[in-house]
Amino acid sequence: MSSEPLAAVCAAPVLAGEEPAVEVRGVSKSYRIYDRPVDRFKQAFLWGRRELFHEFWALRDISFEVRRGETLGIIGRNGSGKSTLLQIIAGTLTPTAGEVLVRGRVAALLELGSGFNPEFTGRENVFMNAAILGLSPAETEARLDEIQNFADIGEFFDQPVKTYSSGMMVRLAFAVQVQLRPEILIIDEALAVGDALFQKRCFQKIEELRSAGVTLILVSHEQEVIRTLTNKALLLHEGRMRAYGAPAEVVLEYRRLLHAEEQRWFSAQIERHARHAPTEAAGGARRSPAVDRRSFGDLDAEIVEVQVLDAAGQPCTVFYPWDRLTIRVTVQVHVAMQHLNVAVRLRNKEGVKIYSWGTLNQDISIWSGRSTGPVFWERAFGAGEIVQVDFVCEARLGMNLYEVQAAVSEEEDRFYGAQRILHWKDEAAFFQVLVPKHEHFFGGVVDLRMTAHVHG
Amino acid sequence: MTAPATVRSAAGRPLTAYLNPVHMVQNLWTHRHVTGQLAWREVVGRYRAARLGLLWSILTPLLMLVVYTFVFSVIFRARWNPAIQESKTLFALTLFCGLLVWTVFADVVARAPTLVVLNPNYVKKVIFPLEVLTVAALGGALFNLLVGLGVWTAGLAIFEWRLPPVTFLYLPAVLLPVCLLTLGVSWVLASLGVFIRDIGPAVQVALQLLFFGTPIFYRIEVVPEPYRSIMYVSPLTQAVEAARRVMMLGYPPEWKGWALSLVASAAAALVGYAFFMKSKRAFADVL
Repeated sequence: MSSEPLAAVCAAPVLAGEEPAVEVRGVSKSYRIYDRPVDRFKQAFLWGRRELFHEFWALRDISFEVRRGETLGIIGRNGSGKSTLLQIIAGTLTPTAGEVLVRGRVAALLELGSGFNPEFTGRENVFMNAAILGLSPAETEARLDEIQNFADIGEFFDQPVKTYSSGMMVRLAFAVQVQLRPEILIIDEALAVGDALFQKRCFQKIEELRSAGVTLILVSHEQEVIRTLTNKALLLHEGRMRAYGAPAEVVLEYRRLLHAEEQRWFSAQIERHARHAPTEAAGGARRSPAVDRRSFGDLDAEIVEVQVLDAAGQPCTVFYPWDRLTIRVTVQVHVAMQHLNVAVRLRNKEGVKIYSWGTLNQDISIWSGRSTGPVFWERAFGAGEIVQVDFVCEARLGMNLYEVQAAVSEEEDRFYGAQRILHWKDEAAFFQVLVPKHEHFFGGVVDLRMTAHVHG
Repeated sequence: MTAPATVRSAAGRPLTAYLNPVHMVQNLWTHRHVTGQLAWREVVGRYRAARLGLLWSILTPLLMLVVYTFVFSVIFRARWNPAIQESKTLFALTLFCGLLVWTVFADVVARAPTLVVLNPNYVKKVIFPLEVLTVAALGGALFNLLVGLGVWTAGLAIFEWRLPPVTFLYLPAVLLPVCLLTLGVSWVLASLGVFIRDIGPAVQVALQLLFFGTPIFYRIEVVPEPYRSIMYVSPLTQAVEAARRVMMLGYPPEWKGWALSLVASAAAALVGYAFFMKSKRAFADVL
């Protein structure tokens, strides 16, 4: 099984003796939910003798550092604490425990248009924002052209901000923050609002800032942004650090997380379904449900191992199109039974199901006379028996990362009419398919082996 | 390059760290540009959507002067000094001196409880020196004072056919304690207003009482003891009296009383500032 997250070590060019631009040391943030605002005030004078609040931990024990010129990406689901963390670094929120050390002038793009007064024109708001960042009107005047140019909102610059679209708002906000040459720039998802052209310009600008030694911290849902723009990433989950290190690894972990959550949701749906259909739930003595976060089932039979093998029968994770690929699933049957189906499913990294197939599919083919051989479905297994199934194919796939899901189920019906999942395992194995660019090149998810016939 | 680190931690700075006048002045000076921008918004923004725009800044005191003149000289036939024959407008113009000073204080203090509450964006979403909100509000009030003074000067010239006395130039000194007191009180109220929403209405009532407790449309001399002494404790009493002295009568302020009220007001400003700075860390948790 190759489902363990790869150890992620991130090496960034570090100048000897230079202190990091941002140091986050053991930061936690608990929101004290006060029933009435006045309780918050009373609490300040109680010195902890009594507690007038309920606690909610938005962040727990976060520690990391960002060196000068580095770009840190923060990724995570909604409510994972990303924005809270940014606000603490920016200084608009106070940590409950731990501390943040910031070296340099900080500019932050925390929320769309939040620094703007809708009644005032873009120009007036620029002066205001610049003043907040400590610039005199004369200094702002000197940069006005650049700002106006970058924002590129035309005559809207002299219109009240309330007439702006959200895209224009973020363009102006970004232009102001960027042109004011902060030493540390914090960006919270705002870029997602701009159109493609503006995003491209933002990314160019970010690249430029980076090479100028500006430290960047940005939050994004977009895995691609994190992967391409940052050189270090942090995955937050339920307020804790789930992964930290090289962006590619962290993004992969994020995908795993999303997947696991989705699976949990699905299994919850299945369970709910089962409860509403008592006839189904009545069958079979249930064992303990899911053994770990990535699998579930009754466990009357269990997937012990899933391996991806190459043509020589050796474990392998990299394939080229049309290479022979073998997925070996080892199942241990705990309770004597019949009517088993061992199956696999392939998904690419976008989560698209590419193919699913199992022993029952082969049995169906035998029953229909399309192929021959022993029917797996009819085979009886004794308690403790171990069986290995090799799924063999040619990897006629496009360049991508593939995830293998494996499942063993009891099929009461020959044609998938009624089934009981004994063990379902997500992310049982991973493999990659690479396309040799200079020999056999194509795009897309599958290799259709097209040929071109030229007439005339 | 190693810049000194800014530390953001749970503990924060102790209250006493903020009770330092040097820190206060430095901090406010650092943020002078924001303050300036905000104050300008106060001035322009208030009537931005109105058709007459900035003209309202002049119309407001003008209409007030007309109303006061009518009420006090036509209806009440009030005399500032019964000993001498006053013109109809003199009472109103004299009253107006004290009223202008009072308005600086009352305007800012009345808005103080909502200054922070109405700007949640400044608390949560941008890095913003919240302490300048009161200073900017004061800036706006001082602008209105300037306009009011213009109206008053015009009134004096038109109805009394004279210019303000030279002692008029003492007015900034007279106003200094008022400004400091205004800031101190506003900082406390702005902070309290975040946690206790009842502060707003309470302040309105308190201002009404204080309005009548300040010798604005009467002379302090007509107040019997012991009330007169009690009223003198208020720096506002000092300032209102002094304003009439320098603006109408041509006398300099009473410097002893002025010095005392300056010290008291400066202390109030410092305490208010420290209170605000210490408590502002909790704003984001409540808003």
